[in-house]
Amino acid sequence: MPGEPVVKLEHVKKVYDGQGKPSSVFEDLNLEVYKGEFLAIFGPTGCGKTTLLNLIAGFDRPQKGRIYVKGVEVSSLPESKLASFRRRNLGMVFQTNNLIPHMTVFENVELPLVFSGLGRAERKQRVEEALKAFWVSNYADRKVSTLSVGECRMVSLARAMVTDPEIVLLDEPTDFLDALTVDLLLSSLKGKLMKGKTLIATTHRGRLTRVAERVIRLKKRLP
Amino acid sequence: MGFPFKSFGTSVWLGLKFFRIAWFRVKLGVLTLSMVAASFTFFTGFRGFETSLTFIPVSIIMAVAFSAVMLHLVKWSIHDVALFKALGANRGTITLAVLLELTILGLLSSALGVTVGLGFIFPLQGFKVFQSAGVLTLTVVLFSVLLGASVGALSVWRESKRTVAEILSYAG
Repeated sequence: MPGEPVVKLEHVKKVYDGQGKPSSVFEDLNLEVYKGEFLAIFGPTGCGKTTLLNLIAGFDRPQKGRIYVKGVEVSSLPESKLASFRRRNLGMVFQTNNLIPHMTVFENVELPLVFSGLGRAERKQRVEEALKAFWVSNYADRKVSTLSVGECRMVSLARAMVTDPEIVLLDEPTDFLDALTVDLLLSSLKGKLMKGKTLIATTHRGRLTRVAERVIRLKKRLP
Repeated sequence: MGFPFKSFGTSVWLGLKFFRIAWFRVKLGVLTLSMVAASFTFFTGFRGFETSLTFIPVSIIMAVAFSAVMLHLVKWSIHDVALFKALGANRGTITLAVLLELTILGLLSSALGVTVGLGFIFPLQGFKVFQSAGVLTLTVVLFSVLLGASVGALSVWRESKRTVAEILSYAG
């Protein structure tokens, strides 16, 4: 891959304190992801896929090693600066979507823009564009609690993309979805809106790995 | 860092949205806080209560109860705090939003509680109740609201110092 990596992990070690019994997820992980690349992280449940995304997003910190995102060392960035860094550069689709059920679809997608301090008119325009791009504009005024799993995933994608981030992290995006919705989602990941974006997606299914440009496999560490 | 006034507009927006984001928590808050305020107003409504020594410990109990309830309420919103952080909100914005939400919640609940308390004591004391449950009672209620909201906001401020993953694992 040409050019500088946008995401770089150097000798990363991550250990969870499993109630006094430390459980090692990564001992010495090295990874480079390049601009515009679609990388799939494939592996069984519990192998550390979500942990890896959490580390890249700065949601979690490694015990050892360095993590760079767009040249900034997120593994040592203070929490106060991480929020604005994430806002500007990262979009995240959580495995469980993490949408707020009592808010409407529009309000959920609007949230990252509110935190960016954008004005109401610009927020409205950008939310409408994002909802349209992921085929959920008809549901804008509906509460998230009334949507199906597939619709929620599309809303979650719209929320991740509404700030136009350069890097998008997707945690098991095809989980719990029917075949038709998976097709829709995968085509949107390969669509115009994602052109030039760096996508890092985790999966334990083969479908997503077939559309990704590169696949890395994580193995589950036996206790 | 932006604390506390940099993103004031965002905090106000979020603080008001909290009433919908956590509607169940709001209902629980209104119920418990108004009950505490109603009980306090009922006791202070008895003639001469404000001037007696009993007023001081009862006021302390009132303030502590408000703080405990509000502290409990914000524990319920810790998952939302992690989500807002993940979506790019800074600590100051979240803390200020919680402070605003708790203050409004506390004031509305107190107004309701004081009205209910007066409603119960009025048949027993008549118009004398307004001589007893006066400025001092309202001051204690107001102080309790502000103390409770501050304690709740401080808890969120401290909690939001942790990483998103830590908060989420703590919140279950």
